[in-house]
Amino acid sequence: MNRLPYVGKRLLQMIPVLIGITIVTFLVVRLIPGNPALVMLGPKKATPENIAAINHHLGLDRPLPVQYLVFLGNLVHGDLGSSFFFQESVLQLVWEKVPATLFLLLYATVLSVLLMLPMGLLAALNKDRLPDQVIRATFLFGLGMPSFWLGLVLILALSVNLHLFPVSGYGTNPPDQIWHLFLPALTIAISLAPILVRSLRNSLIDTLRLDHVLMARAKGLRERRVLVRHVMRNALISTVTILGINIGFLIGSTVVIENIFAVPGLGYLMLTAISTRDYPIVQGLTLIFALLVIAVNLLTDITYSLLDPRVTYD
Amino acid sequence: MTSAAGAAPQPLAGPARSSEATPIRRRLPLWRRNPSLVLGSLLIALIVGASLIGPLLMPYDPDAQDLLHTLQGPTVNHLLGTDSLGRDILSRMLSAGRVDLQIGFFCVSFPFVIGSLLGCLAGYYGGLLDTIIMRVIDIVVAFPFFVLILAIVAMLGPGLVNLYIAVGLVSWISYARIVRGEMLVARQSEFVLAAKVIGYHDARIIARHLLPNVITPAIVFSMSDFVLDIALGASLSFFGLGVQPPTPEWGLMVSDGRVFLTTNWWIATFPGLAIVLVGVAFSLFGDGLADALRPPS
Repeated sequence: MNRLPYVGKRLLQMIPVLIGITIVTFLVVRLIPGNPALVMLGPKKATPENIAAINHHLGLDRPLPVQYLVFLGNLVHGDLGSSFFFQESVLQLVWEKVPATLFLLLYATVLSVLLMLPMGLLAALNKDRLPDQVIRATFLFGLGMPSFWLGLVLILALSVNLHLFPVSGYGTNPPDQIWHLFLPALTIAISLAPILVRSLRNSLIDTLRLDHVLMARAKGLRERRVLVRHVMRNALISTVTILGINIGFLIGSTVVIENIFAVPGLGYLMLTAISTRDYPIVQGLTLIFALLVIAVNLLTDITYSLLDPRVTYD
Repeated sequence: MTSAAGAAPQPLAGPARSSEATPIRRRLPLWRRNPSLVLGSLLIALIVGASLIGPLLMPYDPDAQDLLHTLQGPTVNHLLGTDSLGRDILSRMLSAGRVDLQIGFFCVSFPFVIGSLLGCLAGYYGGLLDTIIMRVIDIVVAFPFFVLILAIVAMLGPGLVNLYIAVGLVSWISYARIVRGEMLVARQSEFVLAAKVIGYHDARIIARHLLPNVITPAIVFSMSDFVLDIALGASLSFFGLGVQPPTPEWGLMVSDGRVFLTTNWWIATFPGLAIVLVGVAFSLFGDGLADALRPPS
């Protein structure tokens, strides 16, 4: 079946949101109280000439709509401005950090799925019985658990006490990176798990009630076959949807966790930039993260429509 | 396509579990019918009580340094040990409770009021206002919640007031979406038609007739939002962007203990457990509330 019209319509639908996020990221920098140039330079270097130079460099001496159009024009050419601190283009800096973040996101997603599918299935099949209650009680503790603290506790338990994993860092080659990023990815997966398992459980309970499952059981199929062939396909669709919905949360956790484990990714760059008041980087990263969310949502929708051919654009 | 905020307002139990209003269920005592609500309320009472009364009873001044007794493990004198400046961790944790609960309260109440109001107006009037509000929501949810808060606080500068502003600018969208959705259904009701026929003003119809019918899901959601915001405030403080030292705050205390993680584990561990406890209490209460407020089928 041809999904192209669907994808095309989804892309067109995204244009207003894309324009919207450029407006928001443009305006975010205008939240700096007082004179941004003064804040960036600090009291020592803030001579009138320097302030004027910065204002001109940022285009702050022009009217707001003009500033926005310039910002947009630069964006179209892939120009996100340049960093004050590193004296390098923001895009270049971001580009160097993208692999670590994408790798961590993917790794955490894989661990999340490995964690949520069996747990969700176990809880749904034993609804209101002991396994379900144990799983729900466990994840109740996870809901309010801040990921930075969970990361520290895991470091303490698995790295410091048991010496199983490195305390921090990124590794040099892929196997080394898988080993280095295991704890960060696990932390993200565990902090996501309460939300994911709960959603998957509820969606599976609904699926198990459906007629086709009843039919499969009624015609005498083995329970394993019912689960694998008739329930899991639906569970997969739910999994993709649930992951897509929570991508923003996943990215937020990545920002926190990269800083706990010193993973040289976008989140690490973001907090470094915040501490050095490197506003162009903060602005560029905010935009990049939003684009990442939109891209993942688009991918989710496309995957969803492939898994469930009934889905159409409405 | 929002952050955890969008996925949260589901009851922990599956649909219609303990609230099913069968005659037998109705005769059970509350703690059997709705254990989440009872346990959650008790825990919240305990936490709020400890934060209000605790500082009066606690043995030490939370900011008092005792450089002769730094980095001590839990002892009879210091039940949860001392930090690198010899400050009593239990006293600081109790004192921090006030700060963290305040963060949760303000981070929920502003967005709750703004979001519910906008959601009411968008859902009731529809049209251009609805379109504008929904487009703005579409744009804001495109950003990862934590990243947008981080960016706004980075621009405004660290501190609690700026955190409240940032959360106020971002979090209202969840409430607006929830209330608008309820409003779209509720405004079709016959009692609304009746109120219009009598000649009531829109303001009266919205405030007196519709609001009580549409606000429940927002109240239930605000409980999980509270949990999220406490963790958010602690995270920002942990990274030096929220509460500033020496004010005791749980996230900040974890941050202080981070350096001593390998040698003095208690400094970072206990304040983190306090955050977890608050999370458990409000999650339980929220689930119980969802159960209790669900209309009988």
